[in-house]
Amino acid sequence: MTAAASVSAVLFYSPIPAFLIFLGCLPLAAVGRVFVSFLKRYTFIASMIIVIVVFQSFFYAFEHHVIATYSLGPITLQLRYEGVWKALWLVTIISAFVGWLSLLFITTHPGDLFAALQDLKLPYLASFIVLSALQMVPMMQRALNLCIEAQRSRGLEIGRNPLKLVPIAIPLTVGALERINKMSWSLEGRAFGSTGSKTSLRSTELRTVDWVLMVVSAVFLGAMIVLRLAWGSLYVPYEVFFPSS
Amino acid sequence: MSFVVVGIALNIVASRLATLTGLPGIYMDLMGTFLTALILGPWWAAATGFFTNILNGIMFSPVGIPFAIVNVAFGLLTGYAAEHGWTKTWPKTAVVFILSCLIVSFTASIIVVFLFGGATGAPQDIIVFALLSATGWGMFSSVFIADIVGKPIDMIIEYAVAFAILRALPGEYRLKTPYGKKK
Repeated sequence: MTAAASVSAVLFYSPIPAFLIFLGCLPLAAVGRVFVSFLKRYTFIASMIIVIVVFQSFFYAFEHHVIATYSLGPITLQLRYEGVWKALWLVTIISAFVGWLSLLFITTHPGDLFAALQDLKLPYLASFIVLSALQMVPMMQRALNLCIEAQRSRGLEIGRNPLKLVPIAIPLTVGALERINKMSWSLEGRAFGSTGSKTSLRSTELRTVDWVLMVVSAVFLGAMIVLRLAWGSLYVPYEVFFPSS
Repeated sequence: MSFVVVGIALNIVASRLATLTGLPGIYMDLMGTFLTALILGPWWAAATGFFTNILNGIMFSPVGIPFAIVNVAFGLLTGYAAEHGWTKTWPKTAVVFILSCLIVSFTASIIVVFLFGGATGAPQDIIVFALLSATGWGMFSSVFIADIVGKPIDMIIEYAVAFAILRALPGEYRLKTPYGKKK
């Protein structure tokens, strides 16, 4: 579904289809009871969205029509129709991408995600690296807090001097290496390098509902491609909104 | 392979550590990739960079996923440089350093301009705005210049901390690496 929605969002050069696709993931986030964590993902891109609108609306470089002119001290800014259109298009497709991908990542345990990808022939090593790193990050974050506290108790104040991060980064890395070494030994002890088929605590099986959703997604994507071919990019030119000029 | 896991975690945790300084333009999100490049070479470094951004996408925000290209390019460059002995002397390391800044800023600018309309959501957007409005430069030039201006400061910290970590590592790691005396 995520792939079909993301591809469909970029098929048209118009914010309307991308916005509708973005709206499509909101009820799913509500039904999945992940709405709050879903919205939190947007805090990362809130400032980016504002800057995109400003940059594209006022500095669109290609052929354009000026809607309005503003003076900001010595700087004159022109609001450009084609830039506003592109800004809205970019903002809606980014929102749709972030929405559908966030929904996937929030509602699917990474173990299940990579087990499913392994069924699709993703190398075992790749999924093992990602899943091990997923476990390693919280451990290192805890170790980081310990290192910071330990170095502070010795009188180290980081302040705004980035070179003072060195006494924290070194024990953090060496500690992580020791931990990962132990993990490697225990893996080797369990015949990690053997070539036979491996078993896993997590496994995925395609249920009827998964097949139905896959068919629905494929039909949706196919329909969007047909609409793209029939209706064009859905771009609305300047003259439609401002016929007199 | 286990070092790749540490490299990925180091990239993610070091970028959190960088926020402690409160300095704009300091990301430290390539340190694990650089360390892996010095120890394991280009392809493992590229894998470290790639999976760092995938993991960041899963854990925090999918916006970071396209920037995997930056991390991969940096890993390949520094990995090949380390493999061919370009990180053993300071003058050669300086050349790799300059190339790293250029490659990272160039690839990041391409992604920022073509996927995100020139915006990063970071304080450097103010510099981009100033360049766009005052100089009349194009979007790509403005984004690239705004990024490359602050890049050496971030990169010098990445290099300094990575080399400091490398020197502090047990000999069993260093001697296996292109950086060490035996390969």
